[in-house]
Amino acid sequence: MHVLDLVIVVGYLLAIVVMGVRLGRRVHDDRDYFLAGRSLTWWIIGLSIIGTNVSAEGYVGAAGGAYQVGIAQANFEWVGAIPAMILASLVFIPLYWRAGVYSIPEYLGARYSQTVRLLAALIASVFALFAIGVALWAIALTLQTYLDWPIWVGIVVTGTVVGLYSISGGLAAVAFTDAVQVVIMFLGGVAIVALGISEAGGAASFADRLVAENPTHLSAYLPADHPEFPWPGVVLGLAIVLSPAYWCGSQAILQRTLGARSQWDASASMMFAAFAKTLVPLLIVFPGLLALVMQARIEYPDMALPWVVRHLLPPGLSGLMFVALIAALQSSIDSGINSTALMMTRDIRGVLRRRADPRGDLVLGRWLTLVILLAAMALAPFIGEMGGIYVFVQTLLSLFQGPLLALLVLGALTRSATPAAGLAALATGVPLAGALLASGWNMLYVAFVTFCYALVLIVVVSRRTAPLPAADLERLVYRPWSRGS
Amino acid sequence: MDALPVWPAYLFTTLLFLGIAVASVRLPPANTFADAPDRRRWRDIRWWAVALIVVQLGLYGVFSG
Repeated sequence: MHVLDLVIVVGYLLAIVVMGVRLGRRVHDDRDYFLAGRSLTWWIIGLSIIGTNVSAEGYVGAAGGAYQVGIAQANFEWVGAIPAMILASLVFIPLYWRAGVYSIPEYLGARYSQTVRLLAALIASVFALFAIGVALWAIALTLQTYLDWPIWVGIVVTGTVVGLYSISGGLAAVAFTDAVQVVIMFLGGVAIVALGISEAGGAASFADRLVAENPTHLSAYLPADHPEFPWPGVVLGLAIVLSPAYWCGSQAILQRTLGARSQWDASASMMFAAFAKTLVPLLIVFPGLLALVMQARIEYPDMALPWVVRHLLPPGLSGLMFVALIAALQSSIDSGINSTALMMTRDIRGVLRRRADPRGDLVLGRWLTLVILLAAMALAPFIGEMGGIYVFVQTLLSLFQGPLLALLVLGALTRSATPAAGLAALATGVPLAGALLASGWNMLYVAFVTFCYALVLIVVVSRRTAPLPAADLERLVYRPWSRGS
Repeated sequence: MDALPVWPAYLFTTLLFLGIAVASVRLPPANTFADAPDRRRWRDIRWWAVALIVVQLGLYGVFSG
């Protein structure tokens, strides 16, 4: 690595730690730690949402995906995100804000039952731990590729840097550092686009060279018999189920909106994030297409982005891009540990102990952040040995997205869904998804079928069981289009 | 299902985005301005949604080949 690149990397890491530790001085109780004292402004939250969303698979994997399937990879950022983000901004965020909750499991607990809250928090925490371990593994691999650091050194250095600012500063530190990281990501991405188009002789020449040998690489949708991205699966599974479940139900994503200084800032932040999301394919899809146009000689599609960085960018810019890659991974780790600590502190321990303790929760939250980080660091070295674990974890995550979305939609928009129906849908929908997946179904179709199953089950069971009292539902149901809501 | 042509995907996408645009515009302004420091026009996030959807329709139009 060039000296200039090294200076940029070290400077970035020091700046992030100093920023996080300084923000830690403002933390006095669990509301400051987990919700940034409800002080965050819309554009900071919006950038932080994108930082959390663009993760290991988002950066390296999406470029590899684009190398294989073309612009269809961008569906994950467009139809597979924007409709759900608008829905979250206009319906779900105002609902959570009015309910005054710290987490999505807490909302589900109030709307259905504490058992549903506990179950949802447990499932989300276990999978978050795996996801943080995978992100640490990915960052250690990146450090090994660029700096020749042993895997364990990469894990320890990353864990220490992320731990320092996350444990001391809580959500405020996470959100502000995410915002800086996203700006760096976009600067790196814009540099690649500008240099790549220039290298190809202009945009028209770039497109001509791309489709000459890959005729479907500029088509947003692929044929219905495509093995990975059949368009009915993208439309029904991704756009209708997986994406709304993620954008309207992910704790790591929505926690920063609950830390907004007002309901308007919370809603506007998601809409702002949607604008940034529209541009994300420039960062993560374009490099894959560029590698094709430049006829990169790579062994695996996932090597497309590292190849482009190494062969296209001059010293200084390649350091910036390396920082962008590290930043994308760090922002996923910091958000994951903060949101998991919140769920374990309030939604698991809080429910089991049945009492709130703001000062005690702050101390416990900080300790749990450290414990989760250490556990993920211990897990990370084994991720590589497990082989394909990342795809496995992503598939497992999709197991409960269908039932979760059904609970959220019927819980948020109707008064008829009952506590017993919610528990039945969650407790049977997840095993059903597992059975369908084990029998060889495409993950996207599994999500759609289990969503429909959970919807029908909630409606049927709700007709035979007792609903919550109308007074309790007042702040838990939101129908913005109905008169008087 | 494997034999379906691709054009219904673009039709569905267009209808989905148009439906969301109509639903956004029909939202009462009081809901979108809730808690806002003032009611200046740029703070009306319903129009942010419409702008987003116009961009999305343009993208799917360009990449519909």
